[in-house]
Amino acid sequence: MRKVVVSGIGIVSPFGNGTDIFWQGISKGKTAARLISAFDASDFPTRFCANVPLGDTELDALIENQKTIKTLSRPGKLAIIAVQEAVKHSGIDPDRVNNFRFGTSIGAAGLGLTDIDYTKNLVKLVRDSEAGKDDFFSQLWYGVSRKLHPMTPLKNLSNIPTAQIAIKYKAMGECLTVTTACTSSSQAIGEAYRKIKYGILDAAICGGSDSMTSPFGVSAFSILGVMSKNNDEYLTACRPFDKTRDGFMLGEGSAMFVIEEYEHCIKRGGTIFAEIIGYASTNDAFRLTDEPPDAAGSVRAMQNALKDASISAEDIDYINAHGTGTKMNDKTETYAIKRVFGEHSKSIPVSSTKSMIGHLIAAAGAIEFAACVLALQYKLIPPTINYRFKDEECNLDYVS
Amino acid sequence: MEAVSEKVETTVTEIISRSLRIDVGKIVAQARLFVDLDAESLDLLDIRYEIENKFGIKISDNEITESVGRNLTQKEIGELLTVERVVSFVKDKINQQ
Repeated sequence: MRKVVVSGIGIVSPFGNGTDIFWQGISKGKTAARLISAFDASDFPTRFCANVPLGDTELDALIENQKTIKTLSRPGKLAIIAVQEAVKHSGIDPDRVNNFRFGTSIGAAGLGLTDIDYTKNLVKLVRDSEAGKDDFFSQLWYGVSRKLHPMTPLKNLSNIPTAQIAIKYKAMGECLTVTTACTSSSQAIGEAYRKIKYGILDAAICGGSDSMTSPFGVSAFSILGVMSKNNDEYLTACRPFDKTRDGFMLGEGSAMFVIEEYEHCIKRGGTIFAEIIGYASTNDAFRLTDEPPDAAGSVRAMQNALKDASISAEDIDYINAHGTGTKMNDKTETYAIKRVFGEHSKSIPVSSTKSMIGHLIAAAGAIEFAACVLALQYKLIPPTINYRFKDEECNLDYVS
Repeated sequence: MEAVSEKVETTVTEIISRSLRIDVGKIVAQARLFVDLDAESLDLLDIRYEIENKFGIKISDNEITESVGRNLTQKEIGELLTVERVVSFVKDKINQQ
């Protein structure tokens, strides 16, 4: 069976631009929580998040192919910047690979809705249209055809960053965008791994990007009631596995990787940072946002991943948990870990890096995969911060 | 009249420069958008939008590319659509108003 290795990493995180800055933050247990300043959030139930501390102009300046900026929403820009770092880090040369066997697999969400200007324009267009009342859609089209920039619909497409990445790096193999909410980028990396393992590709750029710390994102997750509203204590509000947890903190950013077949990496003189040895994906077919109390899907996913890797539960030394900080997730996830790892679960460190950087939604799996690769590289387990009070149903070692 | 004509030329060149992220100084009148300036059809949508807003004119779908001739292949359009061709198209549109 072909071995799959990680040979390049690039990260734009709530700590700033670059893998080193990210590792400095999470390895030292810092929080990236800050009050929302990109828009007036004073009437929102949650007024803090962990956004990338760079404005759009600063992001634009970091993009090598300036012409593509007009097609990129904020998460698209974050994706491109992270990929630039990952490709440089790997040293892979698109002119010296088999381009037909070089693919892309990126986790992303509904991108354009994250742009503040787009939201403002849309609200204005709808408001103007209402003036017509009896011919709402005619009025709407009148407004759209005159006032909406033609790149706006493109920015809305989840696959545009993937396409721009493929064009820039001449990746002519499979070009995949995965949009499965919080699992988007875990699956994107997993699917790229499978394509290399089973001989469809030799190398791939994979990862994820998201920017839900926008008026739309904060509104959407507020309506769902899943975010912490502990505004008074926002610096310590995100408390995965803690008894006093009251929801997650939104994060923003992108983590990208170059992964490739082992021999392919060695032959071109690349450096190996980690090997991916197992992956699995399952579905509960239960409810849209609830997990079944027996955590059956999570249990099967972990068991199948162990099987794919041909290792036993006892071989696992660390788990980077989903650990969102919601009442339901942390309890069910703990239960799932106990079911899979049995007695061994008591001696596995389980940490939630979301306690520091928040929930990056479509990019969550990718940035947490980066945390695992870096933990291996530096031989250090990042902690769960803000953990103070034990919950009887969450009783593992959370590296607090 | 000449001043207006020059203004159209300058403004259109600036719009093309901004859209394609190419220095204004490097854009000559004879430059072909698709061949020399590496434009793609999406860029033309962006350029059209900016021209419409800047000059207060309405340009219909494909009007700019059809201004170089009808029923042409993409390759033929690529050869014929120059910066000066777009400038003269805009001038004609303004004069028609």
